[in-house]
Amino acid sequence: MKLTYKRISQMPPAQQLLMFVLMRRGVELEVLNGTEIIRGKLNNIERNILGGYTSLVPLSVGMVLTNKYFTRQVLTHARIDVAKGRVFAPDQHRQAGWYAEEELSYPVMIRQENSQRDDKALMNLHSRKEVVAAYCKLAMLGENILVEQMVEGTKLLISASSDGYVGAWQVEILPELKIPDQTRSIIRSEMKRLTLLAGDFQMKPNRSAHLPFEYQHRLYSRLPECIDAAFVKNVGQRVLKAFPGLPTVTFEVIVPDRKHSHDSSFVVTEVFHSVGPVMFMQLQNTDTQKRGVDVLADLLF
Amino acid sequence: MKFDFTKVQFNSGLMLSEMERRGITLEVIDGTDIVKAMYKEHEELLIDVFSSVYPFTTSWIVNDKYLTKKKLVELGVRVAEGKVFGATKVQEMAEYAKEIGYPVVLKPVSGGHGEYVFSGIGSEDDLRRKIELMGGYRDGGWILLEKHVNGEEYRVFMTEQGFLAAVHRTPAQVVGDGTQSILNLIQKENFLRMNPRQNCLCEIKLDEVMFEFLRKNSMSLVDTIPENGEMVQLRASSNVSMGGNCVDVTDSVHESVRHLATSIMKGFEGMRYIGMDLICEDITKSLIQQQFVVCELNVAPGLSLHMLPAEGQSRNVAAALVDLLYPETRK
Repeated sequence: MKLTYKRISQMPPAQQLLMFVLMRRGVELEVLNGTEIIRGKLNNIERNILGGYTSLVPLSVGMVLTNKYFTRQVLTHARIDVAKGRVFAPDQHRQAGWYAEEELSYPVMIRQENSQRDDKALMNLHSRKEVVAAYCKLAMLGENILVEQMVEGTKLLISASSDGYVGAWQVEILPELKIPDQTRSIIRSEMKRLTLLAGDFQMKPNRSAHLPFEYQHRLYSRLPECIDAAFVKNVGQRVLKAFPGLPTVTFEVIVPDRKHSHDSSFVVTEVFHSVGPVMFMQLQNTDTQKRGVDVLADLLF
Repeated sequence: MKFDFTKVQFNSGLMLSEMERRGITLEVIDGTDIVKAMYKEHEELLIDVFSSVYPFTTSWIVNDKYLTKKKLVELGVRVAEGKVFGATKVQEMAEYAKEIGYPVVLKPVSGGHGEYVFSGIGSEDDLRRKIELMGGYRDGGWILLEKHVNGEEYRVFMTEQGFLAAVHRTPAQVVGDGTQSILNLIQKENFLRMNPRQNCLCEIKLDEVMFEFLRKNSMSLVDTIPENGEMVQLRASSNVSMGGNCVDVTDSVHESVRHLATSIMKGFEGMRYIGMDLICEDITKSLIQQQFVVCELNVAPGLSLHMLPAEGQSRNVAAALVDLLYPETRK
């Protein structure tokens, strides 16, 4: 079934952009009947795109990236810092509360082990009671839950590709959407109001069932002075290297407020699959600059 | 430091020991079953036998029996006639079964190891009972209903480099001694298979599918005492993980099977190896001259089936996989 404009308009903004860029390049796009799988064909090349994943993602790495615990362990193995935290089973709310109280310092955040959807993360929890209450709410969804230390500092979204492109945005979490127990209808009404602010790009939010990253965060293409291009490049390539075979990676890092000028520490808090906000980001290699979507389209076809 | 093979599953252990033999360094990532493999600058992450050789998105298609079927039809490959239904659509399933004709097969759209697969369903009453037994299968309740195809069951493994291995699989069975019940015979057989485990054979699983199969054939696990030398088949499906038997038949595979596997591999994006379940009358004869269907494909085909078959020659499929993953270590 041919991919229709109506269908594209129902996709999250980043996927919409990728679809339009591929169409402009002459890629024939179709939906595999009764599924969310988009198949692109150009000459003899065929690629599948599913949600945020493209067929460039190796199976084992895709399995790691869909599980926050696996992702944390792989990063730790590669000697990359992650926020202190632990995974608990859905019925372990008491243990989770005590872990937050005794092993972490507040504020704490909790999120589902297998979700990259931000509406399944509850942040800024300041006491054991708050952790347990939030935990019980998330536990109703029946998945394991990750209890983590929230890290203070400058939050960045970095993207890197295997062909040497890197880019970064500063991220600010929108205060309007911090309330953990708001209903989906409130979120949708918020979405109508918000717009994505990223460099020169502006987009009206769509009405998808869940809240995409773009609407919970404000993104700034200009980075703070303490973050230089060499730092971004180094961090980008180190994280990419932790996931062998992955052609592009996008992730969130917190750069703690620096005490010394030579301090280059950072903490990775989330690793995303390839189709996401990075599509709009300008990425730079040694001599050229491209949007994330063009880097991915080049790799795909 | 020597890699600790007790930390990984039997199947992946076969591949990892082949990697270690080639000088590839292996490390288990703390608190997980993920293995990081390193050879000079070349690094890989492995989960079981899942690696970078297979694209993530292709695995989603192959793990869905219905999508796989549609893709196979698109490629012109013969598959059993079938359709997907929500687990609650019992009446629709009954009507469809009548339309395609009994016997039929029921299986969950996603899932493996033959779990919740009911074959040889011969009537509407039987069908309704089996749907009930599937209990609105956990996977969002999607069930594949197919025409039952008679024939011998084979698993064919092949890589894009042309390595081929095939086994003939038969359903779990026990042989009576005139004194013991079916349950006792199964327990005895399971003990022999596992102490120590010497080949790919797994314990014969006792589950609802088996109870139902025995009931249908007027037998009981506890009360039936098979006669001396009597062979008792315990289920319809031949999955080795459910206790089925397997015999290597690689040397007698007809060339047309190789062609079939190659064309399927080429049709799925990025597929560099295939684990294909094939039903046909005789694998030694041309597929053109006989009835055959491709039942399903496997993202993580069992290596032990081919490397440690119950009978016949061992085929080093682990080496064939490592050739794909680390071609620089191929000898």
